[in-house]
Amino acid sequence: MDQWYESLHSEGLLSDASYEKIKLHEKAGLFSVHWEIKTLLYIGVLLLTAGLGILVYKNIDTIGHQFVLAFIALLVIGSFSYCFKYALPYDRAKVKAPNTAFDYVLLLGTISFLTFTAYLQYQYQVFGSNYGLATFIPMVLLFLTAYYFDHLGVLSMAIANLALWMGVSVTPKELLHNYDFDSEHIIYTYLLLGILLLVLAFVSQKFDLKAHFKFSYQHYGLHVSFISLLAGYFHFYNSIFAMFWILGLAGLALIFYADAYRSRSFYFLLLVILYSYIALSSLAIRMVTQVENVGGLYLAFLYFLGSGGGLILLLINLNRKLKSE
Amino acid sequence: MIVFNKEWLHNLRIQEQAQSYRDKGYINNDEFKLARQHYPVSFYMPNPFVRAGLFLLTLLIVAVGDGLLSLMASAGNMIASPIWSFFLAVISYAALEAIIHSEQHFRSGVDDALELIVACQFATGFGIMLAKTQGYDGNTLRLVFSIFLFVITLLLTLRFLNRLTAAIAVASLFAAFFFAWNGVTTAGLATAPFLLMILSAVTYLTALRIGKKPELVNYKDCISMIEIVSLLVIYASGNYYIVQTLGNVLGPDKNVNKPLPLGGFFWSYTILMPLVFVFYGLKRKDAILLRIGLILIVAAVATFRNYFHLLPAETMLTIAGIFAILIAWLTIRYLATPKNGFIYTEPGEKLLLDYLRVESLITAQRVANMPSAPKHEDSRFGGGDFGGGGASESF
Repeated sequence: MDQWYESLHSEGLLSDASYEKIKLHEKAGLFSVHWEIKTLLYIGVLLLTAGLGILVYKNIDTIGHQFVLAFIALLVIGSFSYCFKYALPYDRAKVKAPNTAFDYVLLLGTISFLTFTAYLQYQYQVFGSNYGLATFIPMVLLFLTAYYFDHLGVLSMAIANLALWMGVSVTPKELLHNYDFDSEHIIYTYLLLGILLLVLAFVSQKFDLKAHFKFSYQHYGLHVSFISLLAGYFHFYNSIFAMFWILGLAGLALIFYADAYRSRSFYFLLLVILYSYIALSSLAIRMVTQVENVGGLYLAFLYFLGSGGGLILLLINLNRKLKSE
Repeated sequence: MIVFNKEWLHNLRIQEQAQSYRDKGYINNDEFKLARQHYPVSFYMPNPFVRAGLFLLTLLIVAVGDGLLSLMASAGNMIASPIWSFFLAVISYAALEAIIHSEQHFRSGVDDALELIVACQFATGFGIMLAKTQGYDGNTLRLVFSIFLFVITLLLTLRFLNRLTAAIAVASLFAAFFFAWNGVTTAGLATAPFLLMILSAVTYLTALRIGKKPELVNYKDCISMIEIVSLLVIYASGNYYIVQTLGNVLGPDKNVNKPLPLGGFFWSYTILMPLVFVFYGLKRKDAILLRIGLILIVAAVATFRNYFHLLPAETMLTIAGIFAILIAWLTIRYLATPKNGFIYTEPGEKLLLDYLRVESLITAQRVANMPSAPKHEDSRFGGGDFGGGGASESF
């Protein structure tokens, strides 16, 4: 099997030049450590920033922490001056990192910077009791950094900080573990955040301003919007308003189904389909529970069998269709 | 024995190879397309997202379908008996065979899910059967169950090339030997680590050898899984913490944290083995060995810290972080030009991490752990507390 290119070459399907290139490559047998190094760098940045953060926190009010702080400040200055020095000029389109280390240096600088501002607030109350400002300023700086240096990781941090500023915590884990959907206030904030993110996704693409950021915006935006719409539906379950939440969800699903189909994003297609399915199933269960004997249970089983099977066929067909086009 | 069309499996390997050559720029797109035409594959293989969706939906359908069947059969006493589980397993198996034969599914999510379900249902049925038998001690029952699990997952792996069942098969084989040894000799527990070390080492070396056999080329992925599991077991069977804990849990005098006999041996094993793995991984240019070795270095450090608190955790984190960055940086500098057959990166090399953008999600996790808009005066900014949460959860 390994020599398949031999037969391909002898059949005349492979040009001599390509054949030679492959042979040379096979003979050299180079072993690439790209994955290992990237992982190591990433782990290193995480460990270092985590360690420094805890060091400062634990040693506050002792002499040692001045030293740690100075070290963090040095890290921030060092990382950012490195980034400013080596960064390729800003562009609206995607800018490639000048080298592999660049992304990680920037990450190191940004996280250290967050630690530093958090410390300033904690120790000196720089922002006073104005917590809005205390989260707003880091957020703006994070967004600026993300756009200027074109860094998806920093962008995600900026989005999370935006949520923080709006008073909610938005990451996949938090969404799953903080079941505090019972307060109306939180549901509205989530919904607003989700829509804001989706608008940002739209703007990124429409005005071609870092169009590749659309994925991150849309990823967070869709999750947050769908979850808050579902939460709203269940919150108002027994009132007439429940209908509007479901209608809103259906509208959102339709818009982004079309969008995902156009841009051939299987990830977003799957998201839209699964969230819609959850909504549809909750409606079906609601109807089925009206039946007050064991027949209702049978109906529920039949619903899931039929709808699940239908969904599988839909996914398979979509996959075939998008692939063949 | 393999249910899938072997010619397509062969062609699939060629296509994948051709694709990687195209990404690296060794062949052009026309040549790639020609190779694809010449070696066609008609499997139904959706992309990872659709695969995940199909996997979930299949689980849902089988759960609901089996629930419906059980509901209908609930009038009799049937569903409490193991036969019912076996009956459901046979149905799932028939569905699995049917979907592969009629729709040519290959790692589509549907077949992945059904293979696991079949294994679980057979195992459940057998477990119920064992639970109802009397007159055997726990060790014997565990032994019999491990053997059964090994047989069923081995058969599934041989037919469906599923990597997960391959891993379960190896693990249950080791478990079976462990329980058998434990039952046969009185000093079973004390000598079990050595038995497992030898056994897993033999398994690993065998896997390495048969992995090169051309007639087993279809099983390459599964054999890699065997390598991974047996490497982990090689290490686990000599790791100080694991040996001590298992001794405590399974031994006669429970919950006594007494030091292990031959402590020096186990400690050197715990610390040195990962380094041996990394060394041979680099020497043999074996990615599996190298990566497992790197992961196990972390395990070794964690084990050591569990017993000796030389430094506070945050100092350790900081130092380890600096070291990791330094090593990475030095390696990049050193490999600026390829040396000794190592290269930093090849053009067009695609990383799964980049593809799924997992990294950006992990990063966001860190910020979210900052206390959100504090309600009380005293909970303001948790200082550096957000960093710690992120580091431990990401891995």
